[in-house]
Amino acid sequence: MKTARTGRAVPPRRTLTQLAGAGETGALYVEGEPGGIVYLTDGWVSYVESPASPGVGELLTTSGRLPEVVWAPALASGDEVGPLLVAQGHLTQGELELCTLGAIYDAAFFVLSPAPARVRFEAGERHSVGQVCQVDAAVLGRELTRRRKLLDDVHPSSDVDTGRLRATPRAPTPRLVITAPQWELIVHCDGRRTATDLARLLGRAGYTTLLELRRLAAAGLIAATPPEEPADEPAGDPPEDPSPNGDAVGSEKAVGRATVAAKAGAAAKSQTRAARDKGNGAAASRRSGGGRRAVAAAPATSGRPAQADARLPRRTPGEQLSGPDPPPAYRDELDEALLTRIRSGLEAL
Amino acid sequence: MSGIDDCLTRAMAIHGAIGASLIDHTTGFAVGAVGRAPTDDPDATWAGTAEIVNVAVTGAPFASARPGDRVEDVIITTLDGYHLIQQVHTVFDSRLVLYLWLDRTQGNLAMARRQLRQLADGLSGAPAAPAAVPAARALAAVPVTSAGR
Repeated sequence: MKTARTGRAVPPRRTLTQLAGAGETGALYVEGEPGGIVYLTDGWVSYVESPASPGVGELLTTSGRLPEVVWAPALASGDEVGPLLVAQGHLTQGELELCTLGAIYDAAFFVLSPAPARVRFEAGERHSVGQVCQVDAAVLGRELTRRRKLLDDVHPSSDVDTGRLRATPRAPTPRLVITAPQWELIVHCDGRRTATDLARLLGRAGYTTLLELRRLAAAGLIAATPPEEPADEPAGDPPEDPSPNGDAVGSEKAVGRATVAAKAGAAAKSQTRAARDKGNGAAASRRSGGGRRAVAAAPATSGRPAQADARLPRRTPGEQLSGPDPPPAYRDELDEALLTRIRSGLEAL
Repeated sequence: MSGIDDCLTRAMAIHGAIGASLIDHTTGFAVGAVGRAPTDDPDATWAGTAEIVNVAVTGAPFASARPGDRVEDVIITTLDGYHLIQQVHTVFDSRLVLYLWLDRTQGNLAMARRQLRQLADGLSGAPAAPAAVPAARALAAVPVTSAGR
């Protein structure tokens, strides 16, 4: 049975109240930013999930409480995951309840935001976590109102909720007191991540992440840029990854090759191999230069030519560096400077 | 072993207990509560408890006697009773405390504290806390630092 209510945008909390009052069982889909799903069982809220906050599985696996190899099969089994894990002895009942309850309130904060949104209700649908705890929709609503107010009390601007976050390069005061969760956040504010990214990355509750971020923003330690311009987003990793790897492998091979070349004098052979290894014209010519030098210097110590050879492959990634890679460098520099400053600040205490 | 309700019921079974609750100390929200609260407004009690925990954990120097040290509980004694606030340490991210209001004449603070610690550990699935020895070491370190100043 399907109840379509996709027509116009309504405050999702009002719909939830109606469904709870009617004692419904099913899933309330809330569209919008970030949106999510509220699961009801006989009118009680039994689970809530949102892309903006980590769910039970993420909380348990990111923190290292459960290995992925335990969680994934349990989820795939089709049973109610929560009770199943408890029955198997992977979790205690207390942990399961705390984790689920935390996840419900956390996700509800994002799903049931006051802004009107399109909603639809799928009767009968249940969440795979299973029946762990029941929350009264009215209690949930009151608590969410309180939490929203709490955020605004800390720092009235909502910039940090959605914007890309970066740590301010200069601390506003000479002395700082930072808690462990705040430290974790500052270190991971790289100018590209948003509050949601941070919560999911660190396996921290979305709301508490927001609260800490607002505290940090109020203290002037982080700043947000509006969430547009995805320009430098995809640049980061691909060029970065192969280079150290290829470097290490290349230098190892180079050492081997240098000795072979020295012994057999088969420079031409090493040249072709170099060309094949790299599949890159420039690299091959550079490499072969090194190879020749290795042959020339063969009677001398074999360490030196090997070293010269080892250094050479690094120039190949150097060509790529002229391409799309500045953000990571900026990030490292920023982090290091910030970390140094915070450390000296802490030492001064 | 024990769920939230079970844990609170057992907290209320501690001799001299008047009220017990499990509180999220980032938001001041009571995940569960049984018995009486010290004031007419339970919400205010919980918010106040959360504030105390946050002050102890973040602001004050109590948590930094040695690396890896942390606040385990906060005990407030009034003329009438004891207020015990035990941290619940879960591996996953949750920021909870177990709060117990104990009658001062009937309750036994030391016993109640131990029992509450056990309940908190049972709730979070933590193995018995390795608290005893490191705590003694931390105490031993205190005179040294105060002499240094």
